[in-house]
Amino acid sequence: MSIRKENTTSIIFIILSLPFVFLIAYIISGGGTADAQGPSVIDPPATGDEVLAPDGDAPVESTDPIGDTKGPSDGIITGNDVGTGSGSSDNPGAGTALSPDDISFENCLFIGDSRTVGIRDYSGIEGADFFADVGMSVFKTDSIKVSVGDMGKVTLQELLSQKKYDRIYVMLGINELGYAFNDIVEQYTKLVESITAAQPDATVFVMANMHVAESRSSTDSIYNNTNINRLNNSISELADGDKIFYLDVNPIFDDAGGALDASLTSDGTHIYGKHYPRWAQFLREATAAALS
Amino acid sequence: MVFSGIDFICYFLPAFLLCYFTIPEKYRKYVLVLGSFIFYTSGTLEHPLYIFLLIATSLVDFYIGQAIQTRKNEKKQFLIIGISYNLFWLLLFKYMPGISSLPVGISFYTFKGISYMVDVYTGKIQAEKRVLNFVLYMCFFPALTAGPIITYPQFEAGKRDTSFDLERFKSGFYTFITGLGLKVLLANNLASMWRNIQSIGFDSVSTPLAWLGAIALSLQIYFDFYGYSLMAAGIGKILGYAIPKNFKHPYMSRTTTEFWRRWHITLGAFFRNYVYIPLGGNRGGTTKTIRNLFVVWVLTGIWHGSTITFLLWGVFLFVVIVLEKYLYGNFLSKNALAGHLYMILLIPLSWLIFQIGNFGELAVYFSRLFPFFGGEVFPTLKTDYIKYLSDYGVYILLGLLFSTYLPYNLLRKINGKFVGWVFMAIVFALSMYCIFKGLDDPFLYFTF
Repeated sequence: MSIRKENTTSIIFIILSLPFVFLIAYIISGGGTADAQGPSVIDPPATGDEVLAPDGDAPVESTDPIGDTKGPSDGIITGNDVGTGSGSSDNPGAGTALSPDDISFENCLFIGDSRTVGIRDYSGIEGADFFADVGMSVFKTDSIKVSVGDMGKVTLQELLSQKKYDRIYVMLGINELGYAFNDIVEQYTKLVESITAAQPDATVFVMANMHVAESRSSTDSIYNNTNINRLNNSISELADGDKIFYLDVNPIFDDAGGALDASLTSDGTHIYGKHYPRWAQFLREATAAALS
Repeated sequence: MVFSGIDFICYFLPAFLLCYFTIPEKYRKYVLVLGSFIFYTSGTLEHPLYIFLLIATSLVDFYIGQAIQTRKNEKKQFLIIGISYNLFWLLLFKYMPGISSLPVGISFYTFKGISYMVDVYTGKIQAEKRVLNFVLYMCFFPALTAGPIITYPQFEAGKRDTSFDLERFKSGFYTFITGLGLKVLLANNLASMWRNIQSIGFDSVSTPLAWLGAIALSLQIYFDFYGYSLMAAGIGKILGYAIPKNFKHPYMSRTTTEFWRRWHITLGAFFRNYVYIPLGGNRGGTTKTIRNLFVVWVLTGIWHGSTITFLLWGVFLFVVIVLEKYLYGNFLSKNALAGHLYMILLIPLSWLIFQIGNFGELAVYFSRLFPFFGGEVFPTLKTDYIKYLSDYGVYILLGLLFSTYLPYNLLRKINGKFVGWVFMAIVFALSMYCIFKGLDDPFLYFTF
């Protein structure tokens, strides 16, 4: 083929392929499905109740060393402590009844890594700010700038000095696992102290790192559930039952062996987007239990 | 060991080239055979028997080739024994339930061995007399692990003199770095996009992202394989061996039939010369032609993998190729616009069938691509495609550009010129940076 002909073919291909990509995308997505309209960025799950409903299986006992021997009065709330239904009557330790349905995430901040990015993008939680990025760690929160809402790119300290939050949820630690254990805990503690110093009125929820699947845990010398549990255990000690609570979602997503249920994940590390609403429901229930 | 790894680029290749070119020319073949053994063994340390299988197969094929030539009366029996021996190991490792690992390169060297024995049988070539030459053909490391499937006459015709030639050396590296860039800078990043889409789960992917993902996947598969083939060709050139082209801008095709003459050319040629034509090709009327096409495409499908979706993929290609042959292929070949549009739609769909190894998942993905057919809708981040476009859009654009002729014509033009080397230095530096970063942080593509 002559160069001239080749160039013509190339240009035809490029011209066709580019708009084609977007044309198809737009025509089809405008073609009339649930995600075609509506002002909200995130669609409510069309089958929300099914997604949120318990599997019918009894909740699995957590292999987490802290387990549920402690009640929420210690500031520790695990997926075993809260029902996955919507009522609050069965919430252990519910003093003044606060229903999970009453929990809004307005004026809340989430700080975290890719799993928190997943919560931001797929849980259906609205109104909250997210200081979250893939690869985020307690060693990076001071230096990295993240785009948060309408505030543009800010560091965590800038964010905390600019806006007042009612509740702050922190889920960090898994990216740090390669570092010395004591350094991680020390840096984590410093981070929580700096948060409470900057926002003395806010309730802080430190959250257990979600487990990885058994296939990953058994083959990975660093990112395995033994290390995750050890770190989670240390994080849980920060809870005081007053202004700092520890939330552990793992019993909800674990299999019988205490690893992330393989059917919920393809990479052994992140749950599928469709399961995040269940996580949001846990956050509502656990928050209600903590604040009651 | 892969060509795009630190151990190959920083240790094996320099050390090997140093040995190769400092040793007197008549011994270079030995160095090349020895180097190929080291290359293969270092990549299969967990399976030390694989190298023995490779050597054993080379020896068996060599002696069968000689027997076919010298014992004319029994040549058919010998050919059957030879092909059965080769296929036995391939089928055993590939399709036996419970055997999970495949000896590296077996899909390729098995076909090389078979093509050689058939060529001797049909009298196309004389059997090789020196065992060293044949072992070199079978174990030649640039084409050992991922093809191309070089036939013996191609290998012989591709032999250049093995003296050190600076121009050839430079030109070989130019090709090698081009391939390295396509693999490391384009394919690896596009692979990370596809992995992310898998992590989210296909149910939660918006329709625009589903299409972007299918395009990213198509580009990733292409540049992964094409980049690797270019690296092989570059190394071959440096060593004094011309390796046949395995890709000729396949995405510029107007029909699937044309696509498969430009994609993995040596595999298509193998099936054409050693399956389709011996079955009678298109000379036995429509029914027989369709039967022969069916055999070829089912074999092509299952050669790529043992799961049922590879069979489906092969059948899909068969259907499309038959439709093109008897219905609309001619029209598409003559109408550039229609042909390109058709292929831009068809290529991503066919790679999805190839890649997604499970019918349920495949159905979910297609329901996201074509949501008007219904299907359960899970919470979807409606702007997910914007996020992915901002993260990976540049790789998709570059991928589309490098699917055309334009950049390669330009690269040919600046080959040997200062600006060409500046460009290659940048590509090499960026590639090495990415490789090192991936090594330093093994979760570069897998951070939480």
